[in-house]
Amino acid sequence: MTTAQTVSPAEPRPAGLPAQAQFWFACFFAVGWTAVVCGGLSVQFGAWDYPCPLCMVQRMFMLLAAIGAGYVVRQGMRGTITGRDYMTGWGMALVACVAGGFASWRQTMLHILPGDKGYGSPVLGLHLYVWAWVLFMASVLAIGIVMAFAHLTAGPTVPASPHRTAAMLVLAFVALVIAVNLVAVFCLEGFHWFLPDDPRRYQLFYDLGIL
Amino acid sequence: MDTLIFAGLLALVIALLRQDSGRKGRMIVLGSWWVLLIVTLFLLAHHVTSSLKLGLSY
Repeated sequence: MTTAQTVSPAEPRPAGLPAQAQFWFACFFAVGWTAVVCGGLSVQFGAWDYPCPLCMVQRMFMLLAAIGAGYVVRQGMRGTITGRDYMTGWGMALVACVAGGFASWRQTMLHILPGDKGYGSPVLGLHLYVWAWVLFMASVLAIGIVMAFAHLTAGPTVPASPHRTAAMLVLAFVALVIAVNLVAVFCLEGFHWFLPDDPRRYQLFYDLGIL
Repeated sequence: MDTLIFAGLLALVIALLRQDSGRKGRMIVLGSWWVLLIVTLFLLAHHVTSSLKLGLSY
């Protein structure tokens, strides 16, 4: 008869400042993607560009990736992040980045032919969907690097201060930007199921008869 | 659809903030995240109106 055995890791758990690296990287990752969405919002309202449906889909994937990292951040607020928590959060972020990479690749390919001016205004020489593709691929690489060094950087305990305050601020920032996007897309879409391929106005105000 | 997905994302972050440490809390967050991902993929598929090959020879 065989008996079940519990296997304990032979190596000591990571400790010290490097052990908190994944927690801080998760904060940076969530804030970073949310800031990218803020960049899209600034172009939308600063340059008065109407975001196309594929742009909105990419924002959704960016925020799903941010929430994946936010899962790690949230567990850190409790003071303990297990190996499963790290893997769950980074797994979510990775899936969202691959899906977002596909969406931005698709939109890039629509405008790849010579002479095509692309959709919207370029920023630093590239259109927003090309930047999105670059950043999605960079995120996949970053997640891979972070996970490869998990034995050093994925500590199980997170100190109370200032980590939990920082975690709260990160999640509040993500929630705030999602709320702004919610209002913006509701104004753009109005009482319709889908955005038009090439939005030209904030439909809600026309649906309500204000404009 | 876009409005509903962003509303779902906001609800997901609120659920994440209120998440308890047990299995139920984890399943609510994880399940909601996957549902939102799948709905977003359907929305993407809806907006991909031509062949992925785009008529190119590759």
